[in-house]
Amino acid sequence: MANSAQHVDPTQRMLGKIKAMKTVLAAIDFSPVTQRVVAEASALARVLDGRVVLLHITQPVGRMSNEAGFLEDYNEINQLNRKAAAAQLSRLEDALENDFIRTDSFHLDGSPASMIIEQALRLPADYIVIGSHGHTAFHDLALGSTTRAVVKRATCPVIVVPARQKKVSGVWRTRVNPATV
Amino acid sequence: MKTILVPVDFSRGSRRVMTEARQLARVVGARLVLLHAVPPPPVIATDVAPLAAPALLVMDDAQGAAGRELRKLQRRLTTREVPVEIICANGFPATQIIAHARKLAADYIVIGSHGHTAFFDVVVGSTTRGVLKRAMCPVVVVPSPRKKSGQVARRTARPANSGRVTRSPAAGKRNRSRTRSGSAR
Repeated sequence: MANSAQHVDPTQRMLGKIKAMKTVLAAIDFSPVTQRVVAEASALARVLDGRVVLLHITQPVGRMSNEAGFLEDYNEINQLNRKAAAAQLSRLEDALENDFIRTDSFHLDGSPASMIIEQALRLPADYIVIGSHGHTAFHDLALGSTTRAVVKRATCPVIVVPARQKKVSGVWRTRVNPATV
Repeated sequence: MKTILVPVDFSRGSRRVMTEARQLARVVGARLVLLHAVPPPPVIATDVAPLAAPALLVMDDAQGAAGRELRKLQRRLTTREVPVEIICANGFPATQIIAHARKLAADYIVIGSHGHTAFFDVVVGSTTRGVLKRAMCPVVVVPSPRKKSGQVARRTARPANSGRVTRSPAAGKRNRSRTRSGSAR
């Protein structure tokens, strides 16, 4: 897991060191807010004439119980998770590149908050774009735990995109930010 | 024209917030709206009439001072590309920020990660957290400059070494001597 974090394509590292090119790091988890996060990041990258780096972290499933019945092949589950995420990630990347936005994507394993911070420092990112909460909304109604940790520890500005929806003429829908259209 | 709402509290950490806000406004093509909310006093003496008048005076003063600071900031930040407007509001900061963001249809709110940390916030909770929780537009959280750990260590170590501060063996006085030397510097 730690190895995958350290293994970053050297060209990517060099790209990140070019000062002129701004880097917008979009942390995505394929929850409903992801679409808005990507839209924000690409809008920003467009006006900055920079690039978007899509970052997805898969959290490997560990063994939760020592009972014999639960000794399944977790590697297989993790592989399936990774494969599904990789497919979605490349689909997003293609969509952005079709819009003429320079895009790179990283797909790593580990704890989301620390990996996001680590990658932001490594690139280095000028902005981190992240959803106000993703999968953990049920547990953490105020602000997702990953987002809160990223906001607390980041050294660059963090753009928090609200996942909340708004009631417009009787229908709950996400307020579309004019900046992204 | 797009609108970027920047809540300001005139704290030391807000310098980077201003820089980031201006940079974003330039690339996005937006105006900046600086908002300062004067929080209500922690205690309102409604039952004790003689105390109510001074409290109101203090409030008046806070408003005036905030207005002056805002205008100073506006003069400093305005450029040809980025117009700057100011709003001085009365009320709880997070509530005011959300209300004004909605009213102005702000495209972004640019705010410091901490900084609005007066006594008021200890009681009520962090302004930034409240804004993040309730905002309908993207919120740009700018990290505050961090103190070096060495600075903190020196600050606590100095009273023990300096001869100016007389330290009594009583434990209760330790804190007092520390604050005295802190204010002298």
